[in-house]
Amino acid sequence: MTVARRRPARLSARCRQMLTEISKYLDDELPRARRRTVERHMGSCACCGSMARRFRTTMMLSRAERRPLPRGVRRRAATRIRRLLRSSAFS
Amino acid sequence: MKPKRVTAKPPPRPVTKIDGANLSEQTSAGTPDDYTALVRLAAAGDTQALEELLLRAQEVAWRFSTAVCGRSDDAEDAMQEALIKTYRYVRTIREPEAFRPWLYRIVRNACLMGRRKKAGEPARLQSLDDVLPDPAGRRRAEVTDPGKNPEQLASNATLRRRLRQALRALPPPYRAIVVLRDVEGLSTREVSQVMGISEDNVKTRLYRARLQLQAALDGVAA
Repeated sequence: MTVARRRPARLSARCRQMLTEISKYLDDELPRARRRTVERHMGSCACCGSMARRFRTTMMLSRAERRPLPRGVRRRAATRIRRLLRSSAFS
Repeated sequence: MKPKRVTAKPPPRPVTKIDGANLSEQTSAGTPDDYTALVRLAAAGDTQALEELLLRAQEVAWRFSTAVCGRSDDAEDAMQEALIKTYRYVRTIREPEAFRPWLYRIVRNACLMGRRKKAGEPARLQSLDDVLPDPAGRRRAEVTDPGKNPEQLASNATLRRRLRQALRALPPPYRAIVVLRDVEGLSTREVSQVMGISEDNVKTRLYRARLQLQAALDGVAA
């Protein structure tokens, strides 16, 4: 069985212009009218629809990097706080 | 000038007690409102709120330093700086709402100072021009649709590893913007205050950085 490899789509000039708008759209930073225009374009353009999904994935992956402090670092942070509060209580 | 009086409000969620052995493993990134409420309480003399705030300040310092400066000893210095300055700042607070951008600015400065001292950067900084179309539009950006939903992708360890590598390869100002906006969840306005650049500039740099991060993920997701 032959598996057809999906070829990467090339961005048109219009889509290249849309990229900044898509980034702002995902950040909810477009005025309502512009937002609708971008939505319409993404709905009809496979390339930009794909870009929007990929931008969103990148943003989600980035968000997942907001990790808690490792246990050892957290312990040291707590110790620093206690030390600071103790020393300031006597100053 | 005399500091403005602040009014204490109840916190939006329980405050973590500072106890090295029993601290929650949850990240305490917090929303702007969380910070404002905590700052008000701490300024009004609530010790638990102050402890929580000091812990968050250090947490922010650690995450930002390790992501942007990339050295653990710098991170410890930045944590110390954030701790002391937050402690002093809270006593003279004038605008609790401005605390979050102020904190990230302190952390960024501490991080930059540490980097200047050691004059270190990642071995190679990839140019953003490698992935961006030129003004004549001759440079092409190739697009591949990963074909999976974002939730599946976010749990993919390979993707996350690749994202970290790509983040480290970003030029530091771009890296800082992605970390502040996408990792830490600051608003565009807050990022512009922290970085000292216009909001339009933040949006443009963020878009370019995301484009580069996506280019790095393409090979994994395709």
